[in-house]
Amino acid sequence: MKKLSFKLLLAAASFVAVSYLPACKSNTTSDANADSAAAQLPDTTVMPDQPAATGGPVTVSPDDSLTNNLKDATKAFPGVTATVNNGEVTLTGTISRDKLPQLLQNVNALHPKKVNNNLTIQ
Amino acid sequence: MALQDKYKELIDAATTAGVNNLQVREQNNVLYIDGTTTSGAVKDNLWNIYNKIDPDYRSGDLVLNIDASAAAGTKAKVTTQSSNLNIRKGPGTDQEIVGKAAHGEVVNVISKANDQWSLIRTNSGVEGYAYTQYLTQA
Repeated sequence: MKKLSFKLLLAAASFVAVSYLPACKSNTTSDANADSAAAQLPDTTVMPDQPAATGGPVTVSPDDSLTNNLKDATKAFPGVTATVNNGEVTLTGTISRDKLPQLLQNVNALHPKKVNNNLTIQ
Repeated sequence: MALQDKYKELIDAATTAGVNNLQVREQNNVLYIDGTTTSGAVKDNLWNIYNKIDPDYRSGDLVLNIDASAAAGTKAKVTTQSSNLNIRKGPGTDQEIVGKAAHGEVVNVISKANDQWSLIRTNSGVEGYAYTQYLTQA
């Protein structure tokens, strides 16, 4: 019994010694690590695309297309006038507060440079 | 960076909600936040946060463009304020009205004509163009 435990201890000690040796064994472990990192790549590569990325320059619609599209965007909001100057959309007139988010969602989707909300809110 | 700090809660909420193709860019003192989501609730929540940070959207320092519209080949819910949604012969409010979809009705999106207009078909068989902003992914 005593002999067996000594043998086990010896085996364990030699295993520890081998694994600490800077031999070819360390190569195989780093390969294994590289493989497992590659296997996780789909998860990790999602991250750079997701948060607060800067991306390219902002695309601003030309004035004539903004003017044209604003007619549709403001159609459901009588009393609201939208004008365009150098990519900036200025909203004037009156609107009720509950309709304001929808109007601004419509306008913001047209790729303006800026939206000036000068509306009187009732 | 100052605007990203001002709208941090909004940006964080968009990130947490998993908004797709999220882009946050600052240019000439305006912050541009773009992205898409399949959830109308996520879009509404982001607009609520925007309104909380900048009451009545008065500052003119953010262009928030979160697209929650239904993709082609899927179903969309009509999310007008309360009124019916006009269905038109072509993509434009100058086009003839061929039918209406009720607020809350679910319709089929056949294709997207452009950024603003989608070709839809109602369950009663009316087919035509509707304003995409009022078609939320069902």
